[in-house]
Order: sequence, then structure tokens, then C-alpha cells
Amino acid sequence: MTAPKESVAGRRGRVVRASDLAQMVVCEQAWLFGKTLGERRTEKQQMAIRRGQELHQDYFHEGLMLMAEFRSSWLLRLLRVLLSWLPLAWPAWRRSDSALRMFDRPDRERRGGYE
Amino acid sequence: MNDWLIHWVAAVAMVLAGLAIFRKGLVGSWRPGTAWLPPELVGARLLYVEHLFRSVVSESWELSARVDRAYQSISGQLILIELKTRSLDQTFLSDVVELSAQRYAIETSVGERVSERAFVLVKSNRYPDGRFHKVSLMSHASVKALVSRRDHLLAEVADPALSRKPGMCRRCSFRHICPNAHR
Repeated sequence: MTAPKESVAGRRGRVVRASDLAQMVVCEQAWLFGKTLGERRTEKQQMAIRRGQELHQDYFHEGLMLMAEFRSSWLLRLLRVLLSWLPLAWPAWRRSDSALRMFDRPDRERRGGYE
Repeated sequence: MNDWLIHWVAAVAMVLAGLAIFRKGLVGSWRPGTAWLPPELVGARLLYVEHLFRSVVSESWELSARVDRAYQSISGQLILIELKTRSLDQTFLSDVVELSAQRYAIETSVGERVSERAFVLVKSNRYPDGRFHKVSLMSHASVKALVSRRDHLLAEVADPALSRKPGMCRRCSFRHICPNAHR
């Protein structure tokens, strides 16, 4: 019978976060109040936090939506050029023989193919 | 000169000009390069992003630190970067403590060497794209001392110190119950 594994949490006890230490050095008294009475924030602090979150959202929005690298890539430029040709190319392609061969496939199959 | 020769020279010149523009990157997107980076980070490799490290400080305490960015420099040392968004373009002692705790956690858990100098990238009103600030980190003994100080404060063995800045007191939500607040 193997010995039961020692619980990591039980052995190591409690966890101190680095950010908790950082808060502690700002004002030990306020930090201790926060620990014993629960964290409280003034209206101004809540506004500042909200503003910070909005700034982070803007930052990620810029990073994800603008995608500067992708927008400037050759692949996208090629796609743009191809898309700009599409209004001209699409009707021409539809009128072409190959397109006819493709679009009238059901008829062709029914008729038993081209002569 | 024959007409066909002029056309050929113009065509070759246009091709050469196109190649030159392409090589210079004038057509492609403008890339800032590495001029804005601190010299320590030039050529460094990004190793950790938002990575959580845990290490044992004492019998009863474990330190956990989430690293924003850790770069490996050319010399092999890790360089820590803390990202901050705040109105003022400056660093505080809390940044240094946080980075020092991160350094302690990395060195004692993974065993990698971390530089004593770290950077705080502050995104502020004045510098919306961020600006690097170089800071010197605390020793491992100081981090351990802070953890034991925290232990003493929670056990009410030691008296808590006040903030040195009166402005902090004015903005504190516990001001009305704090017996020692700056008035």
C-alpha cells in the first residue's frame, strides 16, 4: 500500500500574490483595512478603474480589429485587387464557354453531354 | 533614337524604380524598427507572456506572480517587463515590488537567471503608445522580508505604517475610519 500523497496546498499553506505585496507597500494601513473589512473604493477610484478597463478594451480593439500587419500584407492587397475586378470579371466569366459548361451541367447531363 | 528604344528604356527604368521602391519598403506598411526599444531589449526573444509562476518562500507561504512579459536577452538573462496603464508617466515603488516578486518567483521555481534591471512600460495620457522606464529590482532577502512583514501585519504583531504621501490619504476610502490619516 502506498503512502497517501501529501497535499500541496496543505504543505505549502497560503499563497501570497505579488500584486498583494505591491498594494501593501503603498499604504500598509489601508491594505490592512482592506484585508479585515473588505476592499472599498471611492467613487473616483471606481471611475479610474473603469477608465483603465476602457483603455485596455481600446488597446485590444486596435490590435485585433485594425490588424496593421494583415492590412498591409501583399495577400490582402491581391485580394483587394481581385475583388475590384470582380464586377467586370464575374459577368465576363459567366458569359465564357467554361462558365457555360459549368452552369448548364444539369442540362448537359440530361441531354447526354455535348455533341 | 528609335521610338522602340525609348519605350524599352522607359520600361526598364520603371521596373528598376519599382524594384527600388519595393526594397525600400515605401509601398509596404511603415514599420518602426527597434529604435524605440531600450538597448537591453534589442535582439531579445519573447519567452513568457502572462505566465504564472509559483515558488515556496517559507514553510507556510507560497509566492505567486504573474509575469506580463519576460524577454530573454542575447546574454541569456531574462528581462522582465510590467505593463501599466495610468494617467501619469511615472513608476512607483509598488511596480518595483511587483517586479521583484516576479523575479524571485522565476528564479526559485524555474531556475532561470533574471536581470536585476527591469522595465515598466507605462501607457499614459502623454505617451499613449507607452514609454519604457528602467527600474532596479530588490534582492531576494528584501522580498522575503516583505512576505514576513505581511505575515506580522495580518497577525497584528506589527503596527501598520501609513503612506508617505498625504495625497494618498485624501483619496483613500478608509480615511474616515483611519486613526492616523493625514489631516
